Amino acid sequence: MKGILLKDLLCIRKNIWVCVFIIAVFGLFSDNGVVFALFYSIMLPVNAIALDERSRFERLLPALPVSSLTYVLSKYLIAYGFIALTAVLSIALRTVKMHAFAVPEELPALMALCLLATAITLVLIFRFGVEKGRMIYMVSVVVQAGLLGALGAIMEEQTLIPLPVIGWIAFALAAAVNVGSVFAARNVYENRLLA
Amino acid sequence: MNAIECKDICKRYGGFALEDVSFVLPQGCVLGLVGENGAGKSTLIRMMLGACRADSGSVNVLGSEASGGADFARVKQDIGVVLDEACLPEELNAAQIGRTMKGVYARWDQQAYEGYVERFALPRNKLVKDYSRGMKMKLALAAAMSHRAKLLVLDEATGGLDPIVRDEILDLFNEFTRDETHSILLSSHIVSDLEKICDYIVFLHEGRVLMAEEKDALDEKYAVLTLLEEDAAALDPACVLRTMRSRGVVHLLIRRDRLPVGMPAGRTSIEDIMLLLTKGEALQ
Repeated sequence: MKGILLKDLLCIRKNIWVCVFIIAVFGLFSDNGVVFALFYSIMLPVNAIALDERSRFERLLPALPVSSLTYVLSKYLIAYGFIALTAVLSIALRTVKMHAFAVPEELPALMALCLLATAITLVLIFRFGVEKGRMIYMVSVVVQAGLLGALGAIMEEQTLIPLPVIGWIAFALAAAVNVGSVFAARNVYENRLLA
Repeated sequence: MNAIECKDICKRYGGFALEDVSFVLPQGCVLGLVGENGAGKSTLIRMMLGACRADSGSVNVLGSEASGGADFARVKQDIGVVLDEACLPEELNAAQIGRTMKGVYARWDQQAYEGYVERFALPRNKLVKDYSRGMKMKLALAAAMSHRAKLLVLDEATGGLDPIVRDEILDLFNEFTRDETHSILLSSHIVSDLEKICDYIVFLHEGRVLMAEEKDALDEKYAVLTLLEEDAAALDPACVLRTMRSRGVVHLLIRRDRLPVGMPAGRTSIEDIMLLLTKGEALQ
């Protein structure tokens, strides 16, 4: 796991700097910038997979003492790592702005949505590969954005449950979906490799 | 323990089939897997790495059944693989490849890796994508030989390299096999490389093993004759394994122990045998 994660982080180091830059700039100048940064975090593992495909590293992978689960999980961990980093920086920036510890109200819901997008996107990418999966990914992003808008409108209308509570419930559900997604991605990836 | 044991392997997909493929690579030996493009060599190698399932038969590597599972992943710690392309991450340089592999292999030998990088004069800070083909293959070999592997599997690893580089690499393989527990499976079209280094040769043609012999025994057992039609017709058909007609003469692959008395037959090369096995006709 260590070696594969290090490889991925080294390969996508330019993308990582862009992600950090987005977080810093948008976080400082826009309250909605964290949304963009969170969704950019999903692109990081997709880029790592794309670079593997371009260098045909997938051909060498069966020769390495690395299981399919390890390879697949490393991509999820990249996404989780940067979602967490974005969340921490978002809280830090809001705290600085408010001069007191403050968690953006919408943060749990946004993280939940990003986790869900990660769960869906990576299964699609592992199933179809980056080139074929890219179009499907774009469609899924549009659908998810539409769902976000619709859900956001519904949540704002209702007053029964506070928005942050809904957000944390959604986060827990999305985390559970991710567990299933990792194993589903492992299965589709193995079937593609062994075909 | 044999390094590799393939027994009655069958695999069908699309218009291709591997049929009853069986051979053994004894520990401490070098086996050359020869066959034309599309014969099934790469498919067999993928099976040995657990990347492809056979429909029937078994593949054992270093005493364990080859599979995609976690158990066989442990066996891969002892296997070094070089494919026809390096397939290394192109955004990394040699130093970063070394750091990556250190995190992959439990017995990674950084000193050995640095030694190979220096021996091959590979630039440490240049990205892999900017390497020439020869440099990429050398880097892949350096990585494959730097984790104390017991078995090297090389799938057309020397193809496209110039003779000087190939000679350097064959010297490396000779050093590798000085340890009697080390074995090499080398799939190649370049028969001169196989003749220099292999102990065993397996000829694969259209998914079938046509011949699996010790290399030194090939010349002792078989001879290739080139005769005129009438002279070829006079031979006892029982001693002829294959014939191939070309430009008015007949090339014959025959068993040396059945050569007619007084008929001279020079040394037989792997290439001659391969040509006749693949292009020649068996007598009815």
